[in-house]
Amino acid sequence: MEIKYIKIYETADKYTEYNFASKFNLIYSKKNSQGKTTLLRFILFALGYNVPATEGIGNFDKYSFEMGITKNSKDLKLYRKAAKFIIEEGKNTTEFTLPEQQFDMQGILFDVEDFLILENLLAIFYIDQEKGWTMLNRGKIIGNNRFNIEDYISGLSGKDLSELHLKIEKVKEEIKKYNYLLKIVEFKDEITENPVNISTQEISKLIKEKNKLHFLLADKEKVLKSINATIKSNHTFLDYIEKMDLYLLVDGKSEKITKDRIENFSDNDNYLKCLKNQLNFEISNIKSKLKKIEEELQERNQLFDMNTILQDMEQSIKTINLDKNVVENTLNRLKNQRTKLNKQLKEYLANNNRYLSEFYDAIEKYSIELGIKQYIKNDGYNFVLTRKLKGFSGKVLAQLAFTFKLAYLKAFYKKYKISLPIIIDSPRTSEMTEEATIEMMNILKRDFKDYQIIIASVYDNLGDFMFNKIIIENGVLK
Amino acid sequence: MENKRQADATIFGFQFQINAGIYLMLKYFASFSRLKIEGKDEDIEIELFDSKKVYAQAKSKVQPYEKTNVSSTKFDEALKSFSDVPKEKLLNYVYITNIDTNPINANSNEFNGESFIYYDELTEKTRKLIDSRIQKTKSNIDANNLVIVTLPFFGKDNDQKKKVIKGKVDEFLSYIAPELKCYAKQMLDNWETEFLNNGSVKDPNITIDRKNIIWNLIVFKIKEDDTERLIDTLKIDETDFVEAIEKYEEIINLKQGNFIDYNKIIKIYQSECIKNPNIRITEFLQRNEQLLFETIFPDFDINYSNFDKNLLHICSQIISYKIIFRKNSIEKIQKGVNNYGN
Repeated sequence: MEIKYIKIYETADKYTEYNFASKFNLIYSKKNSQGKTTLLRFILFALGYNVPATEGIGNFDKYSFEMGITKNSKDLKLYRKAAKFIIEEGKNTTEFTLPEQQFDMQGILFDVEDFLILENLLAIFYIDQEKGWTMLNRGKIIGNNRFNIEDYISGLSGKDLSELHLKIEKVKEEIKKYNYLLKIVEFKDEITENPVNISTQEISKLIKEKNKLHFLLADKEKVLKSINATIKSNHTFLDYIEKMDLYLLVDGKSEKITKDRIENFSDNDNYLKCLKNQLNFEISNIKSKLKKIEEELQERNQLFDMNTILQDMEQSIKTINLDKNVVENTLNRLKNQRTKLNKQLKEYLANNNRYLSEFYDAIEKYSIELGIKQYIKNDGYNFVLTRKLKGFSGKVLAQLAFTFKLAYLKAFYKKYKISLPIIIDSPRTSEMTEEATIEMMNILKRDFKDYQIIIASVYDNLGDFMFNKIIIENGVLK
Repeated sequence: MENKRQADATIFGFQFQINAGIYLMLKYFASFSRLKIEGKDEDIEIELFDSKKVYAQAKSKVQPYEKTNVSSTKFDEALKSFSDVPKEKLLNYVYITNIDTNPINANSNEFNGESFIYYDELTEKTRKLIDSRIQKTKSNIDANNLVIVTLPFFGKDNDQKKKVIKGKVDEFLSYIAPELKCYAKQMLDNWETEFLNNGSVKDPNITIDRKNIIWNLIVFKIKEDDTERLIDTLKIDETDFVEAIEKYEEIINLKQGNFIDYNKIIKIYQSECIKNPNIRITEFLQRNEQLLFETIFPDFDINYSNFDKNLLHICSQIISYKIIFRKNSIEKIQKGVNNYGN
């Protein structure tokens, strides 16, 4: 699949067009904040993704987009305006509403039917300038688009592991709750039996009432402010007219136009002033009610310090009918269940899933090439599922993220025979040296030569490439 | 204990004075111009259209039906006080009390509940008593100017205490604009606060004016504006209507109070009324929909192009409706007030 061009329409006849070569494209500007990232996000938006706007550009919904792509030697046109999306192939057009039909549309666009793949697809071909360089196998990519490796593997293997994940999450949640419960039960066993009777109910009622009044007060004060502003602006206008020294000819006599002689003014003005008085009256009523409540609260709080609240709490806990042994038993049972489920998942992924080893092989191969193999040596295949990102330096993490992406892309190609366009934002990020960047680029040049690659960078020395160089200066829209 | 009772009686006395002020304002409303609680000379001072003055002394008892001689003492005090009042422009001396069966201890039978009786309408027995009290207290007043008013006002329960005065407010509102009757209690509360504030300011020039009272009524009348009826009469989609109000409430409030918009809409409406005097507001809105929109949002393309045009159309209908309703309400209340008592 290849992106040929994108047109961004500001109005029906004012647009900016960018053309892309079938191989290497470099979106380049000498300085940052010129619009490179915006252009990449425009591309993602035109492919149907919801991405956050970049500073200064505002909501993407105000633009219309046209994108030309080639897929299996056929030309397609994509149109997007806000939620409306159209795929045009020859004379056939299909319309979609986003985000509700995002995956229906992208299923057709990318020739992928599996929902789990579509849901995780963006992370396969796009590396965001920030999160893209720190995410290996789980997390946010950009906006609300996420990636999860277990889901991706489930999608590739055609086996739905989501139910197993759900079970694990549920058990974890229960364990958390039982742990709290255990603490409460232990606390219950500790506390002595001192009778405490004072209730916090009345105080809480007063606080609720106080909050309600504060809310009401803010509302009234807002209206009052707006009325004051209107009164002032009306007077300013009339003062202006008076100062203009205008005269009307009435029966041959000239008469000065003054504020008090302008029809309808006093009606409107009197009404607003009266409304203002009433609001002031209501506001002072609310304030006096608030004062009363505050005084009452203060009085009660003196009688009712934190100590009694604690005593009251103890009293409530004492009434809970719970046995520590029962809670501990349940907790143990749940922990066993969690271990079993985790084992099941790991076993499935590690032993029966060829994708895990494929991923691992690719990651290992490229890590050796980039000189970071030592960071993965101890984990074996399970490293692909690692959650331990702490301890990696920015550079190592970015390079690892890159190798993971390449592994995902290869697996995708193997299954679907589709080369997705690879979109990379700012490859020389996180303390990356020029040399290390060029090493990564060389891998792309050698092993991904059939892919269209779109890179945005402030550096133009990325190795020995024939780039289609798109230079951006002073904003992406011309 | 004694001190507390005295303090309670003082508060009660002031409460009665305020309610007496409201009562007298309504009683004289046909020519009422302004009023002062705790005036320079008397408890309540009212000025009428022709600058004529009414001076009132308000005397009350927490338990008005307890038999004591307090009523004679209070009446004597009132007479002495009236003596010092300037005689020019004087219309009435009003002695107003909550002792409603035997207000001046004359043991006559013309008083019962709410009464408003001029000196020359009193029984001979009462008149004789009044003459003798004037003589005894050496008061310098013409008895013919005297009015004795009884206003029932007692009880721990507020509704009971203000039963009669609330009835007077009801009556007043029913005449001016019957739809305002439901606000009688609220109106009375408002006036009480306003009169109380007035009583606590010493400056005799700070008064409650006819204009204040009328505009208070107008604001209540405008509260009646039932904008939601536009949904049915103009066949506006209810969801759009609610969305327009929620989303653009600030614009609606701003535009309806802005004089330029107010004036323009009124002018369009008035010229339509000349052509078609019986036109209903909703019909007017329907016929002039586009014109009203363009009048209220002449800068749509510049300042509102990002706004939902359909919703702004609805806003322009709501704003126009509110402005015209307000104008009509002002006219209606002013007409009702001018006709009151005539």
